Amino acid sequence: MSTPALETHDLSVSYRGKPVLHGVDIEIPYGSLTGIMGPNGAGKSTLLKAIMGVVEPDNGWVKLLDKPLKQVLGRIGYVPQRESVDWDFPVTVFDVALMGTYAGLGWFGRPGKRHRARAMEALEQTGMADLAKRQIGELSGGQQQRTFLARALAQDAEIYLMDEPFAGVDAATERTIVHLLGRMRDTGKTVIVVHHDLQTAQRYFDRLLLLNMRVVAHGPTEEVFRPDVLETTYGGKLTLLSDIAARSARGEGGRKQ
Amino acid sequence: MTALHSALLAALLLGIVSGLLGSFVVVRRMALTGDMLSHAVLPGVVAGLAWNTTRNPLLVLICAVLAGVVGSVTMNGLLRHTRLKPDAVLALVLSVFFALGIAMISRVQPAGVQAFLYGQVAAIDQRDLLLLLAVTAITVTVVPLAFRSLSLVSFDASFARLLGFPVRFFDIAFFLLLTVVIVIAMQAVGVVLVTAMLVTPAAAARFCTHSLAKTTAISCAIGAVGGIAGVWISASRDSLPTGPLMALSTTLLFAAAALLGPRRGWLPTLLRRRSESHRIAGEDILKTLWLREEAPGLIQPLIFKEGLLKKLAAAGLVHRTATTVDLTPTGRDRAAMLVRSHRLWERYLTEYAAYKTDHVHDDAERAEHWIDEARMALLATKLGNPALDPHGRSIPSIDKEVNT
Repeated sequence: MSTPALETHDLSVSYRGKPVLHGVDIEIPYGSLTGIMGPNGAGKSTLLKAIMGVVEPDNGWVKLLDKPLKQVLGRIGYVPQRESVDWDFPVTVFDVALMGTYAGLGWFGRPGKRHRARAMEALEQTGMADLAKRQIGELSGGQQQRTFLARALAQDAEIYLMDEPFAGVDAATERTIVHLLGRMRDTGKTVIVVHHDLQTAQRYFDRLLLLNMRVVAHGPTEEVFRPDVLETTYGGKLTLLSDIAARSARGEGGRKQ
Repeated sequence: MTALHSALLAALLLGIVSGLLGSFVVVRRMALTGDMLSHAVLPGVVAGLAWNTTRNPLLVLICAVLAGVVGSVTMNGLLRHTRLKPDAVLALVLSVFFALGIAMISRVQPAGVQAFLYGQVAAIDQRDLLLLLAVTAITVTVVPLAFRSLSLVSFDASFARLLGFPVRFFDIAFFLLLTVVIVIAMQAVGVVLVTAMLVTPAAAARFCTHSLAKTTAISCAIGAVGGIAGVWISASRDSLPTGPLMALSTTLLFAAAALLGPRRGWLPTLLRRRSESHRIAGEDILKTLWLREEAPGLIQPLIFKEGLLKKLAAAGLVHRTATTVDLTPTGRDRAAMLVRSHRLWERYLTEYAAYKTDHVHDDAERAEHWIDEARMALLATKLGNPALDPHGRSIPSIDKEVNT
């Protein structure tokens, strides 16, 4: 079997001292479009953060493109959750798209004509070219998401991590995003998307990773998208798992000697 | 160089360097961190002054930066290991370090500490000036060169890290430079007003532009002008302290930017709104005249504002005599477009948004002024080019408009 594009092994992560993910093993093949799904607090965003190295895992490891993250920087793309962006920041739509071309420019390098053309082309693909000069706070939710998608396209990465790109967007944008994600997958990119909407999951993704503090199910959509699996994923937290983990993290309330 | 000259030079350099760093402080939302630092360095300043009696500014600076580092490490430790919110942690560190500094002052009473507490541009000597010159030179070379990287790291640190930018290194370098500038600025304006010098110029610049590069440039200019003005005013009047005057004149510039800044200033916003409301009132006149032609006798009498009519006549949209007002052919086309927007929008609301027909008029009164040609075409196609609005009145067609 060929090596997966993304592999995690026994990954356990705490967030602010609270264990969120337990022993996550995943293998995501190259050229696939994967949706990460699960209820609120299931650890979806935390998993993404652990993969990106933003939070340190308590245990286990992550390999991207068969290497640790440090060796593949620049080849991993990222679309942040909308709430985590400072929309008042003084940058234009074009500036954001241009950031996608910064990999390999170094500290003092300046983007040239080629980079600008790449950014503009990406904006055209997401239908944002006309708004290139707008400050990002002056956009609608859908336009904001398209802007960051353009940055991802301009980057031409190999693996893309996207945190809820469908949250709060209009129907037209949703179609555009689905179309673009499909095209990225078809050109061999590996796309991993945190997604919220069960209604659309089956149509949008090749593979699903159902998460609720641990991996409930992981595989091709038609195998995983089953009532019993969804029931396990969404049927409430594993109270005992989170309870014991939290107590051990706090280091209190243990058995009396 | 006279005392006034060196004071002016110091104010100029300080204005530039704090304006430059300040714009990053503001967009990175670190204003309170700057405030914390200005207080946290005090124990270091006192130790430095007590330790070397020649008052070597470099040594004082090093001690102060060390204290700033300790303060910031304490802050990060508290943030990570307790559940305290950032504002509480900042206030805690700020006050504890400041208290320590004051206690040290009463104990050792080092010479020259007054300048750091209250600010005293006159106390800035040749050696201080050289240090300031060096720091300014480094800042104005490095920041523009690394501007792109700095703005990326400030805007989206996670993405920058994934691209391979050494975000931690950037953060530490920025923090150290900020501490150095704060320590130097303290001597001019005092511990409390440092934040004013850092934050006010950049906050003012935010009213003027939505480009980070321009924000930085404007912020530098405001810092420099405010600083020089402060020194100059305090020199020309007796017994006016320099530091507060620098802060006050910068604040005056801030007020001017808040009033007049083209991006979000009060006056430009007001003018924009006014011109929009004039456009809407003018369009309403055209529409009323058109409706009078559609159903004569239904709408009267007509009383319009003289000023608006004059403008419409000047634009060739209406034709006036002493007693009558009529649409010109161009005016009639424009009015037809508005009525078309209005009625298409009413159709849209009833068909797609499940409005009842007696609920749509008010909404359409507003919407008609904001539907451009592209959106009107989209509406018409979506609705299948309807001939009638929900009330049974005909929707004017656009055939005449095709070639205009």
